Amino acid sequence: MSIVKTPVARSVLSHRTALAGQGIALREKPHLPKCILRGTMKKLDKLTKTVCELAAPKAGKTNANRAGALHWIGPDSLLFVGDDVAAMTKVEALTAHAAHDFAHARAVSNNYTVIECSGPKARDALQKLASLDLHPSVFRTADVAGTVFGHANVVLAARGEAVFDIIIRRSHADYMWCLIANAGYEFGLPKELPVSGEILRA
Amino acid sequence: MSTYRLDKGGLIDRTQPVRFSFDGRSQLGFKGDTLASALIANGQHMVARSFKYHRPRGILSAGPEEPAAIVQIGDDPARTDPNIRVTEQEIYAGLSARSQNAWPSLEFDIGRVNDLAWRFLPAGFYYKTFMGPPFGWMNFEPFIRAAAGLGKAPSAPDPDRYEVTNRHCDVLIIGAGPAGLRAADAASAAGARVILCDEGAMLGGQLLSESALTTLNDGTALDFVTETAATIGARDTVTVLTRTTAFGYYGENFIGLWERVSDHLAPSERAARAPRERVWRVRAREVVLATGAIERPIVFHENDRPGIMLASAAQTYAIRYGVLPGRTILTFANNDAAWMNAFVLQDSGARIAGIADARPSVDDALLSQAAARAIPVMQRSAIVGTSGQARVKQALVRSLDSALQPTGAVRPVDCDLILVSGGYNPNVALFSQSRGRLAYDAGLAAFRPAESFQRERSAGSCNGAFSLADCLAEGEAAGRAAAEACGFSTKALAPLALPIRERTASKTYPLWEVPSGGKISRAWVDLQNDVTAKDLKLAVQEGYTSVEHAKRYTTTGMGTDQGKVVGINAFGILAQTMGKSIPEVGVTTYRQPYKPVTFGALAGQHVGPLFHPRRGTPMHEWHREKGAHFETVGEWLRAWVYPKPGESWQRAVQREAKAARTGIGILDASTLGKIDIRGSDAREFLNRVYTNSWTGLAPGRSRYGLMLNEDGMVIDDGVTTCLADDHFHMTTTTGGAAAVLSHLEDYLQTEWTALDVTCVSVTEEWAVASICGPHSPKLIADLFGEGFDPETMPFMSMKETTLAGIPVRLFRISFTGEISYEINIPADYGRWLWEVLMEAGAPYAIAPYGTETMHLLRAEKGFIIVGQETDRTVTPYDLRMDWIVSRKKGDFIGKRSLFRSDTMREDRRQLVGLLTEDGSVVAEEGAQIIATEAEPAPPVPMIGHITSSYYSPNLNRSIALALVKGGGKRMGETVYITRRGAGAPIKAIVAEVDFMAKKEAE
Repeated sequence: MSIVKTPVARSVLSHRTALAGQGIALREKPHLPKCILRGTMKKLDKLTKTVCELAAPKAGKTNANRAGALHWIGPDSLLFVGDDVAAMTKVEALTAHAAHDFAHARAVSNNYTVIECSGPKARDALQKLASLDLHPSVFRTADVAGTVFGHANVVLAARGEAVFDIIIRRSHADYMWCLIANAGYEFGLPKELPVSGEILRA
Repeated sequence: MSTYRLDKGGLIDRTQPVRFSFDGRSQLGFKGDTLASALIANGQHMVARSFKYHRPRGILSAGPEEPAAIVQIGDDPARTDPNIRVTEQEIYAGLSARSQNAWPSLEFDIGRVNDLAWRFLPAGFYYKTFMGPPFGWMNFEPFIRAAAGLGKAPSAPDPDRYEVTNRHCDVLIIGAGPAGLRAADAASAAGARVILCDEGAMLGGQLLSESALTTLNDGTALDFVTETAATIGARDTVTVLTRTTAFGYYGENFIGLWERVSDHLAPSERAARAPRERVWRVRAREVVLATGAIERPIVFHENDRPGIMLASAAQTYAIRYGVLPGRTILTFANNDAAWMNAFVLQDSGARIAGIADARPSVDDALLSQAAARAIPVMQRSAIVGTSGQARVKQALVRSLDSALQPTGAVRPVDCDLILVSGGYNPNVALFSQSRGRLAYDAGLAAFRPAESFQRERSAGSCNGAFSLADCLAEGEAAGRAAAEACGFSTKALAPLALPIRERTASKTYPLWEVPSGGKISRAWVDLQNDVTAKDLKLAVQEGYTSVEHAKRYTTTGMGTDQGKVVGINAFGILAQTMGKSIPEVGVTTYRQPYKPVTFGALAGQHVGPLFHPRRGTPMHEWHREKGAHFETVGEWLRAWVYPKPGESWQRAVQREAKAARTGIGILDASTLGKIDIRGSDAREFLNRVYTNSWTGLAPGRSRYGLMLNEDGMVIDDGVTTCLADDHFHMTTTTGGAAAVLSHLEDYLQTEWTALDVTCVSVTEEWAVASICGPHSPKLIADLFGEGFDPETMPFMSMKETTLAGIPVRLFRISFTGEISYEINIPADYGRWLWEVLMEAGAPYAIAPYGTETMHLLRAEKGFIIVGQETDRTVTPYDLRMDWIVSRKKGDFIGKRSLFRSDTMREDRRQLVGLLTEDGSVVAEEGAQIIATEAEPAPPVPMIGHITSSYYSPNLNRSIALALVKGGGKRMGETVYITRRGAGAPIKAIVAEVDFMAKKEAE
């Protein structure tokens, strides 16, 4: 097996470095364990309580503890995002759950990444992309919503008064990174250009 | 400095002179001036030429309604802005404005010959020309094209940033005049989230043009504006936007605001990180429209000369900008307000040469005031003609008889400014856009809001209230009502001490057109598009009796100003001509946008590299580094071919295709859609969505499936693998992934809710490397050890294993017909896996191949591509894949349609292979197939078309797939492939689709 080198995991935004402006910062939270749970809320509630010690959140809400955050993303859908790699055990436990109980889990750790946008200007920047109302009196800590930024679906979670997780599909992440950086340009973030310049077919 | 600048007064900063240029001539103004006020201060009224006749055009108004005084701003070919109203553009150091539609210069313009030919360019000229015999428009078109348009579009890419942002609020207030300010104060005092926007550079609206006589709470009107602005600005629930136009009122109180962030600043003063313009997409719970009123001109003979101005605008220039727009002024009006304007201008230092009033009688108080001011009054009189080129010099006044016909002697009045006032139109554009219903108010001789459709209130003069007291009161009431509708409890604002001498709101005397009394009448209705009263009458004569038709026929109100001052004058003339009342004639529809909005602002930040996402696989960078050419598949960029230095892509495809069948080829298949299907009813679910049976598929085994829509037509295909009895891994086409997931969810959520099945997209969870070719088992053995060779691990099976400890799903599935493996690994390890494979595969001459080669390889085996061989009119039987339809299992999507008589017809187009007689000839994809050697005369009976066509390096000849009528029964028959214009049809033999099998059999 000498021909196989040590495995290297590359997060989708590994070519980007964290950005900071005046009152806004942007970073990728790479390699976080993630899991989508689907089924009836009652069954899911039982499952997440058992495995994560988290009750299924109410519509549009996030329940979180030290292991991670459990986001409501639909009437029959939850998304668990671990806070660090150690939470992989939770994802494994969730997916190991018997799949014949109207409560099914799948690991999607690689399918998505998390971009964190934080700082007092984060709301103003994200509001340029979100048609949802992000006013602090409306979109509060522990609120979560599925929405569209530009041309990509995101799950937007308010993890604090001025801390937002943007959970984005892997191949949309670079586009989203640049889109948010552009929205924060007014607040000092640098111009970030999406990967481009490929030779296109004749 | 300038001769028309007043010594004092105005909201300009006299300590800050600003140098700008007009048509290359350097001019001086002050900070706070608009281009219009600065030009007028320098004695320049004529700033443009009209669209059609190139007639001199002056400054009519002092605001956004300006129809004719439009110029080109800026000389930078990337930033120049056409059709900018001089009445809105603020001056800055170095601003360069140029007149439009005039060549070689504003004063000596060649195009004015059009004016001499005016009799031959009547309304509907363009229609008649283009509808007439062809020689007409063939000859006219080049001239019309050359003459079309006003300003010039920028010729270089726009270097500026634009931005779109979103806001929600409780109350959006549009317009910050007296009503808007009071509404904002009242609503925000209650705690509502308020957005207050105004088109002007500062808040205040009409209050900024009030004379010192208008006092509020013992202060000036300006003091009131400043105090109110400070009060509401201090509330953190309030957003105040100036230089911001509400351009569109859409459904559910969705309103577009267009903010000019830095267009008023010299380029050096513009904030580096601020956008040039910004669009605010506002969703308001309640809207207060306080959009004011627009004064309308009077239509009389030769009413279009520079130096003819709206009466209220003249007061604005004097009070707000400290500029006297003329020294000797004649006023022509049909209402009291214009008299007050004249008095203010007299107080500012102008000589009033007279007031001509068309009304049968005028209020005694006004008459005695005029007498006290020694102003000559001409009652029941009208202007019937004017003279002066670059500026009006003289007006001809005559008395009117009871039929409003000129009578008696012509009285010449020398003047350098004529003030006109035909009354005021409530500015109902946004109200009307919101689907509110308008009603004609005979007292105002104008339309006003009657019934709201959305959650909106009109307040102030846009609602037909013209006294200051009414505007303030309506504003407060609307602001409070809006806040209360949002659940806030409001209190009355502190009452205001109002001025003793109020702005009057007299009844307006309708006066649509003053006859010239002579043979010729060129009385202008639309000053931008050059529409006269005569044109409107002609339109009626020619049968265009609907206002919408007459508008289009004459182009009335179709300029960049969208007829803001035209409106009711045109309707009045049409009504008069038809002998109807104005309500019977009606109004044209107000549409978004209220005013031209730049494309830059509407596109915002979603331009250039951010225009749309481009998705890449985890191995994307590797492909780039190796010089791959890419093709777009939906949003995806897929490696298309990997040409070596100096190699053409065609050669590269041939090389890659050869390598894949003789050594090892490797394809990045990560983009294929992957759907994880789980639940105790998963098997039953698959039976229902695919045509074949999934009942017997054991864990660890894979099966190919075709998915149909309800019409029985193929919509997707892919391999699905059983991971466990209740757990399946489905793959879809790259482009179809999202649609297939929606299709599955649709059925699960609406039709089959009792099934214990859920679907989750895991497309990007896995990176997929597909290797194929005779040496691929060796490579797999090198990496994974024993137990994965084709004998132990049969075709269409899957094993879960690890590579250096990383979990891997290894599939024995193929898209090329060669011995193949698909290695799925968590996407974070995709690039690593690829590099491992390339390194370990080097001894076997592993060669990456792109999608073009992949398409060729599968065509050699006769495998279909959904979307290439199918177009949603093709059934599995049409594909001659009868084996994939299970008639024994229960129902599946599309089953019923599949067995309709029409879909069962044997003469439907069926998929076959085609081999050209001459193997070196490659037929064109899409080419039609006929049954005869020579192409008959049209209509040509066509029996099919080519769906895929390649030169196959493995067969050393061309191959093609085609849909041919009754193709299954035509094996060995000769057909002909047409090539329009490129020679005789190509002779070809119908064959089975699996060309590789044919070769092996040989």
